[in-house]
Amino acid sequence: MFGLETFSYDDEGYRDCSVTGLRIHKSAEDMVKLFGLTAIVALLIGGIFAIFVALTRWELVGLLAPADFYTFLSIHAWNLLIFWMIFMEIAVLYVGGPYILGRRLSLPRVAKAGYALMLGGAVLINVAIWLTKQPNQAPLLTSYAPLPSSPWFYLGVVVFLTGALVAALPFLATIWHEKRENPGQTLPLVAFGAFITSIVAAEAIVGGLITYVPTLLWRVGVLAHIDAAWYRQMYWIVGHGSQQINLLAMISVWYFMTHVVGGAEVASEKVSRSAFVLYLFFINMGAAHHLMSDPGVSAAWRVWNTSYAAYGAVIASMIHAFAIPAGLEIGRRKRGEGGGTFGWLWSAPWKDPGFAATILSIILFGFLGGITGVMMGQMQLNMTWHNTLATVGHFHATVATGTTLAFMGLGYYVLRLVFGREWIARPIATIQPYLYGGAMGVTSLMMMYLGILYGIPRRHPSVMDIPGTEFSFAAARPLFVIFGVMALLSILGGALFVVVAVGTLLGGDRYGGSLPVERPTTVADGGDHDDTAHHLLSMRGTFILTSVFLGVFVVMWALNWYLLSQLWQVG
Amino acid sequence: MKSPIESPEGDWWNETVNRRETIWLGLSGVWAVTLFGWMAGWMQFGEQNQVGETLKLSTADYREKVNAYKQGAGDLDGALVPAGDDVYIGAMRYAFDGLPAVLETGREYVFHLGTYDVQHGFSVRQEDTLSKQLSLQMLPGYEWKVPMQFDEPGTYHVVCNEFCGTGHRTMHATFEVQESVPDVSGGSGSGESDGTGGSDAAYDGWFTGDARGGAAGNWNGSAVDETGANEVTVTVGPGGEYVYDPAAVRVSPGTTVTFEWASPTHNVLVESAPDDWSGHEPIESEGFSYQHTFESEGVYTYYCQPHLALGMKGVVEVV
Amino acid sequence: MPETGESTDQASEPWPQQLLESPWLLAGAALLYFTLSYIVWGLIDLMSVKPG
Repeated sequence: MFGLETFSYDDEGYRDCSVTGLRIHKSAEDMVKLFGLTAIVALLIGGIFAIFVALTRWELVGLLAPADFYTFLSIHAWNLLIFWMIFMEIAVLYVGGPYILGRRLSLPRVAKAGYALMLGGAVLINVAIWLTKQPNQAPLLTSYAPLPSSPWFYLGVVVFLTGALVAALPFLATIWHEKRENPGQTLPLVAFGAFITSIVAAEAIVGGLITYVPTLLWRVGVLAHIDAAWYRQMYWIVGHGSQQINLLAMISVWYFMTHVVGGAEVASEKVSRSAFVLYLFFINMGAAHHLMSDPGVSAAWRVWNTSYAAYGAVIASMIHAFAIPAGLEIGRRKRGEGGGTFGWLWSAPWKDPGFAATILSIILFGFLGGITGVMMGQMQLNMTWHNTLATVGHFHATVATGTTLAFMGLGYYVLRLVFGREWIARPIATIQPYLYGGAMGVTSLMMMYLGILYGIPRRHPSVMDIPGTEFSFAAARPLFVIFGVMALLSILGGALFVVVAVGTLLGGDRYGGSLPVERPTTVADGGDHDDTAHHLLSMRGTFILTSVFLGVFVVMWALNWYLLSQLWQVG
Repeated sequence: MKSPIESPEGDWWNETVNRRETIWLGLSGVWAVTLFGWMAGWMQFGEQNQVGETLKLSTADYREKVNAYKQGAGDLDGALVPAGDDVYIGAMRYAFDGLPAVLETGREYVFHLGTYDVQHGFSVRQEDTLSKQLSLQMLPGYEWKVPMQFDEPGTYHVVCNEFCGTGHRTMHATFEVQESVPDVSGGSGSGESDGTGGSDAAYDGWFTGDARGGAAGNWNGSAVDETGANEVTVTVGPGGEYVYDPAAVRVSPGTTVTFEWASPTHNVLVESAPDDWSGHEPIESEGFSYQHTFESEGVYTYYCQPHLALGMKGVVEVV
Repeated sequence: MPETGESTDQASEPWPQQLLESPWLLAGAALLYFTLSYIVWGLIDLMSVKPG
């Protein structure tokens, strides 16, 4: 497909990847390319609109008129939080299923139908938002009823969500057939992770349909009334759930990439798989985070759901936070790639953008995104975070420095292993993850400070100049300067990825098959496993790193509660 | 070799787990319990818990509650002084009804939060310490009662931080917290002006900021006289401005007034009338027109709901 | 196809491993749990809100 790849298939449509050892069928590969490239187009659109949003919130520039701000913000949000993510995640499912299992993609025509619906819905949503005029309002991401948006917008959402569900079916069918044909076999860890991702996604998407079908009916006058509290509770199943798809897909990608590029192995199948199951049950409860400062739902419901069932899902995150670097540590120790406590880390291929992006994603997601997510999900702390710019900082840390960076890393290897092309402009490719991750990390931090320490509201184009009053948030101007500059650098970092990706596709040399590590699988080695049991290999480097992480977590958490305790009495 | 892209063989459940990984699992469990226990415990020993009764009621009913509260409240230099411990706030596009207000330090109030139209945010901060801030959600169809007590005097600024339309960024209000506030009994505050009775040219201050909503931008103190004309036109939102033109018009009984919309997002709601005129509630855009024949003598006061806070008000006086 | 291990006789696997190898059972249980804990409980809360 696209005529840009350098590999060819045998008569049955298979090819063997000499690097990963995977047996890949054309039916899956065509779809991975289609969904993946569409995702990058969405990334590009969302990134362009990011320029306008950042330069408006940095009021020294104040690029957009206030009325336009909400439209541009909506397009930025939908293309990056939803379209870039979900198109890429369908591609990740098709890799996690058929590629890993060496199977054809089941129901390929259903995959194409799903793509058509997703594309149609995405176009409809973009156009409906762009053409918003009174009495409709820009939907932002959340389209909170009863503030009305264009009916075409709601229709577009229903079409897109349906398409995503349809596109997930071929993955589920592939798993179904695999289990039937090989009943005694365990799915490989990455395939298991992809399966969990697909169920979390299905849950989120069905929640979205439960929300948007009635909302569409309300908007066109079939339903007379829509309850704001019900809308919020249902909306956030897809609102937050769609981002939990990111989390699951990202973690699956972390296992995959640390293995392929870094030589990681699985530290403990039992522990990692149990963590995935904790996610399966509890991660979507996080939708409740958005209802902490709401009327209606009881305190007990809020406390139980926001805690992911007494933090069951946080345990899962902490497990993966250990297991993934631990896998890298033992894998590299086995290969003689590192002595001492951190030799395995220093010797790692930091100049490989696939590796760098993956590791930066792990670090930034954990320290910036994960910690802040838990904090503002604590019911009472939420009062100081809710609807401030700090929440925006949180989700840029998770979605941008976390998932987007991980998907960029994967993208670099899709270019090599799926399209068979070597990266152009290697020096740019090498620094790109650092530029994007670093700049976006600082941008996110600035937004968090602005929100928590200054109470700057989110979704607001003119906090320095509020009509009708002298009061403003002028004290925060210096931080906004840092924010503005860093946001522009982040966008540049993102643009460089697109440039390298497109340039590689169109003009990259044939990829020669070199990898930073010795081939990580033992396909041709005949399985002579003089293998060291994993529990005997040292994980002390990882333990130190995760302990630092836990220390930071505890300190930030305590500081937040201290700040809250200084607030006036509530309740 | 245990690759994440290959199937593990045999019984992998019973493979030994690395000692440090096991310790980490224990630490994670302890941390999870701590997080949960602290949050649940704060409900008992902490002083900041956004927990309070919720009531379900229509936006119109909530507006009436806020009005009744305002009528019973006292006045201190244009700010409401609550008669009791309840403080009612009604958010709408684009103002906070019930503010400004003056509160006393050390007194536990019950804040009633609700809206008249769409979702809004109640985001409060201390003027001198912006980091002392909180945000709560306000929903149409619900009244949320949240107790609050302020120990530090000063000015507290409220902004809306839930996108509610084009005027969202203009939503701002304040309340003062003072060491002591004069007691108020009975109503002497700026409740609704009833607007009936006589053709007082000032219409009981309807066009000023003393009445509900803001001051009308185009009120010059006297009504346009169109008595004797059968048909009169009032332009709604000329040039996009938040006014009716003319603001006040005097007509004879049986006159048909045609309201012609010249810009979007306006309506005509009745504040008070000598008969059961109900105005035109649906929001309309330019090009729309609505007619009503005014029969009964008296003063009809009306306003545009989205722009009440900006002073979009009118009067038809039938003499 | 990548080299995979022999299929294990399922009966000889410990039950937690069998459970982790039953994706559809896990998925169904998780969906049910979420429906009850988040959706149903929350809706009960909303429907119990007293009229004001």
